[in-house]
Amino acid sequence: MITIFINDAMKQVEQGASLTKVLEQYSLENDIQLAAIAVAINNCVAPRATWHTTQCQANDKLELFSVVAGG
Amino acid sequence: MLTIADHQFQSRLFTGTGKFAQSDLMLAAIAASESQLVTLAVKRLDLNTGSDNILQPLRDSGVKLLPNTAGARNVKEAIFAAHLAKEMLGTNWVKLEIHPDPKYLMPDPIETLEAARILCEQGYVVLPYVHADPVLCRRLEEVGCAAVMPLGSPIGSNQGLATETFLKIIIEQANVPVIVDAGIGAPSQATHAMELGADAVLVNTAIASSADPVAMGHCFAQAVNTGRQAYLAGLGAVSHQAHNTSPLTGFLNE
Repeated sequence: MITIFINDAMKQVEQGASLTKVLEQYSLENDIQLAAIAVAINNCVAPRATWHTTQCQANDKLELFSVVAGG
Repeated sequence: MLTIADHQFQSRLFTGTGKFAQSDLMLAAIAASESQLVTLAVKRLDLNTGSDNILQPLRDSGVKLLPNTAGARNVKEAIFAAHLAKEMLGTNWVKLEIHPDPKYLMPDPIETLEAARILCEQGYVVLPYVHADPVLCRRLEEVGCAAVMPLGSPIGSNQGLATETFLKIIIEQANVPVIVDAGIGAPSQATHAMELGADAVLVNTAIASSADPVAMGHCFAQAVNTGRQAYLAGLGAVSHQAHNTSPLTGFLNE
């Protein structure tokens, strides 16, 4: 297992886990619609098309974003 | 018909989605306003507050979504927000706004111009929110912005067209649509902006903070339409002196 951070919260994931797998697990745990979010890894936007080929590394900082009301 | 980039709009009223008491009220007010373009913001997911769940109903309503970069304080943050929004919404349209000062929310012209240049190069349809600065608006047009969005007065202030003199110059010079954004607090002010020749206005607070947002949305729809029709009809000339509209001596035999 390795430690990563999702929106500042520590999380243990399997070594070599894909971003898709990590996000699917996280979305189930937290009732999030993955279709409506964007993800950045270490301050770089991770395009959806790369999620399944991206392997999480120890100490990666994932940030999840969504749209909200605004002017 | 208003055309921005390759997209046509029948309504010249754009609306923001912020500050409404409830999502249902926001959706009803937007429907009443007949707006076809609405703004949204990008925010880091907060598990404690949950999501607004506004995206799907907005998509279902058929309006075009315009994500903004509010919260960005510089070029880098604005580009990051635009990239996130594109991932989330699948749109390359972005309302570019960079206002580091939280008190007056004045847009930073230097950061905005540079971010606009980069985002245009990356293929984004950029609609920058700026002060009513005619020189800056020309520069933004030169770097490829699809429209310019000069402010009437500070965001959310409902002060109306404090920048009228400069809006007139921007409208006269622009070769891209001019959308008066921010500060429009009453339908009469929206009418006035349209009478000046603005291509569209963006309204949020005036509708959202009304006691009856749905009725106010409808009022703004009428106001924008009236202002546009008046502009097309052509306003009469303004004169310092009086000019009689009736014969003054016809029945007195003087």
